[in-house]
Amino acid sequence: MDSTTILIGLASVLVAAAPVVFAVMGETLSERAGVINLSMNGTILLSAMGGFAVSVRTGNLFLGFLTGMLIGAAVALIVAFSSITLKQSQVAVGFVLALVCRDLSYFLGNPFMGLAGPRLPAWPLSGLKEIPVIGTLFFNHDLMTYLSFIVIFVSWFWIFRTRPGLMLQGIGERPAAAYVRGANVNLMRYVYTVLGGALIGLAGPTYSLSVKAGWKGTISGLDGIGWIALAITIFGGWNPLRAAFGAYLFALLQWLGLVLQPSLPNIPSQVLQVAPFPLMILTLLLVNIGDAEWVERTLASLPEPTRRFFAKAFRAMRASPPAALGVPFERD
Amino acid sequence: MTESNKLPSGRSRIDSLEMRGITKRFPGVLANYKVDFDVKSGEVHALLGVNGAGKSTLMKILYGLYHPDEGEILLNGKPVTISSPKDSIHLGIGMIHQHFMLVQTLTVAENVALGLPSSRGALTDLDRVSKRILELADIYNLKIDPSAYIWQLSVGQQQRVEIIKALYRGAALLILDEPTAVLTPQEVDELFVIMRQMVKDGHALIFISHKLHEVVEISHRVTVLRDGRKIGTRLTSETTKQDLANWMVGREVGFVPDRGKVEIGEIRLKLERVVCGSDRGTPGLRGVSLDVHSGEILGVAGVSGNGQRELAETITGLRKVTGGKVFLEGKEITNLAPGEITDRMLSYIPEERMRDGMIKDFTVAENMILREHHKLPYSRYGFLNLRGISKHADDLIKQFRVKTPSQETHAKNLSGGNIQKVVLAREISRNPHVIIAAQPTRGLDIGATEYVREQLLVERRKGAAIMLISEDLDEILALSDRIAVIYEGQIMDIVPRATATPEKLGLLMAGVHP
Repeated sequence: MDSTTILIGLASVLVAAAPVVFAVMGETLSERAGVINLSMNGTILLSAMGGFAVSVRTGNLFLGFLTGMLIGAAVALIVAFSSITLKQSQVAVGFVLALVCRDLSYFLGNPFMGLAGPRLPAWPLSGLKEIPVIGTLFFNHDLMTYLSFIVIFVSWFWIFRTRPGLMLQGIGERPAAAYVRGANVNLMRYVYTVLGGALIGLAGPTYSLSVKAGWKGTISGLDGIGWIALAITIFGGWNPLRAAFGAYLFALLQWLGLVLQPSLPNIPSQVLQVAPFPLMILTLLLVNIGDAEWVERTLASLPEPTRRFFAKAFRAMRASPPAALGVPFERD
Repeated sequence: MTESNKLPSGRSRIDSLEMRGITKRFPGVLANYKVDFDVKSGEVHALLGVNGAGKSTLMKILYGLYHPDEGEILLNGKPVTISSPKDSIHLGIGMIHQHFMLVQTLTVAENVALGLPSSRGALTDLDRVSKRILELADIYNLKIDPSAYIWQLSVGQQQRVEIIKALYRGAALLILDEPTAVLTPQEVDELFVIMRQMVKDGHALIFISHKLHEVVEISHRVTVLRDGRKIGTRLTSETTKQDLANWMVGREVGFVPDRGKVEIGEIRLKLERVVCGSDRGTPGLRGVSLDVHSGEILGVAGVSGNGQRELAETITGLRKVTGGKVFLEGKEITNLAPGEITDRMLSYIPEERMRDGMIKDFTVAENMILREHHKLPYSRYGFLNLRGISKHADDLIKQFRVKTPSQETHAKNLSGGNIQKVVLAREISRNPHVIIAAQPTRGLDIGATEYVREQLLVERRKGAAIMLISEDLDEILALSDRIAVIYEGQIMDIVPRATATPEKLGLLMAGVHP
């Protein structure tokens, strides 16, 4: 492989990761407010199908993406209403929605199977795309890929640099403290869950109108992405930058599976296609591995500099969920 | 407005605040009935009462968290309406909640800034906030690092953050809701220094407590509430602890329970040079040797964090012993599973009763069989015997006078005193041979404290060997036959009660041999 191929490959990784980025950012915002949106896998499929269908019928790409976001927001609203207002289990409701939305997408998507549809055109940024390396990597994509970069930065900036973001951290961590400081906890949870849902819903059309254009029902290859996005949210430690890193890592693994296939003829292609999923789960195991007793014991037996290096690395990897995640807020 | 009306923080004083004829009803409960209460600039007014007397309700009304059914609030003589914490903060009223309202994962500055407008619009202005925090910290002599995370701070430091937070928001009147409940004696002293300074500067302070000695030490006036009604207001200098106690409870209270004479029997619990670690990875116990006899209460005194928790946990099997041995009635139990140790008739009243003593979302009845659920008559062949469990709960509720709507009530809905009664009932009703009681009356009101102490003495008379771990020297002196003082994971000395004085114990607690 020459360097140009690698560069173009890496650029394609950024494109392929865009929908995962949307989903992970949406889930991160929702969970930061204290609501787990477990419906993600179904939501992505349903919004992929819905976005594609609307675009095929109207010939309008914008309406397709809008439909995806509305579907995501609507599903999130069900999650929010049942968990915030009805105080039902977020896990149970989210899981059922994940299954229902998936099957609904296959059922309702039947008429659109294999149809030729519109596809988001590439939109190289002239002036920027000529910059060596960086131009190819970042500025020779379509609108959604650029948007994914922006969403990462804005989410991070919002959570860690703005007043509402500070309050968002408070709401997910200690809602009572946010409440006595004047926050309308439940309203804010609704807002972030629905907003996060809209972002998750954007992931669907980003697949069906760009990354994997078209709708092929059960063989669309989208089933499972939502679960991985959920794992990446945890891997990301509820921090948008780290979560984005996770999303790109996953896309990179998928790309490696593709490019390595010709040079590894003995391994069935299915193995390489599926491998990124377990690999991602394995990385997830690393997040809090520093807390395990056997790791601590092993570390203690290492020479001091090595021990300190690993201890530091493990501490940096640590992440704990927002303390009030999944817990309904009741004043007093 | 003249300069003398200003507080050091730059806000104007609240010369007087008056609550008149406050009545508040909850379904089935009259929380406050025609209560009058007032506080002036430059004084600490203590609000005293047992748990459930209506202190917190009254203060939550003042802070805008509840709305009174009747009555009015006057600020500097003018009526005001307080319908939310926003209003009260605007008027200069601040509240230090019993459970701190801090976000653990944020820094001190972020916690202070949370919910406040910023000079940079939607962006945070943490540099400015930090600067102002340091200014206030300087004026009020509170040491605090604005960039520290809350989870890194001790409980006492977290409370200082709460005080700074209130001052930052311009509080001239501060409500302190049982501020000492979670503090060590040293931290209480530090808090009192801060409170005295604030009063001298012209703040008005309301101090909620059920600890008499603290009320007597810090307050200028004291108001006693009982069953939601005001019993009276007095100058603190004109009352005694005994008067206040009788007022609170409504009857004569005995401070020193009758111990009676008990024959000291054989050794039931023995520790031989026990060593263990602490949660922080530092040594917890460094070679503790002790024995407790049948019919004896061994008091373990010490400043908090000197190995008391580790001592209780190694004996009960909750913490790994890394050196030395523990014997129960002559048989070694070192590092056995907690269940096996319990089954040998050792009972444990844990320090953190809400966390370790019970399961909050279980009913009273279920909590009462946590220890014995696998035995007859509570279960058989792996099935629960609901009738046996229910009868057991009814008996214990009656015998231990637990105030609960029913045995099906979730434990978390009981008051602190009644929760401890449930724990006590479960641990004592099985006729244990050894009892480890860790801080058994911490946070309890006078009535419940009296009851718990009586029950421990009853068990002692029945021949149990009791280890009483407490930071309350009065309690140790009132109950113990012998007193062991623990300091930095070691036993400094064991003194018989007859020769123990607070001064002598105090020196030992500080690590000094008198």
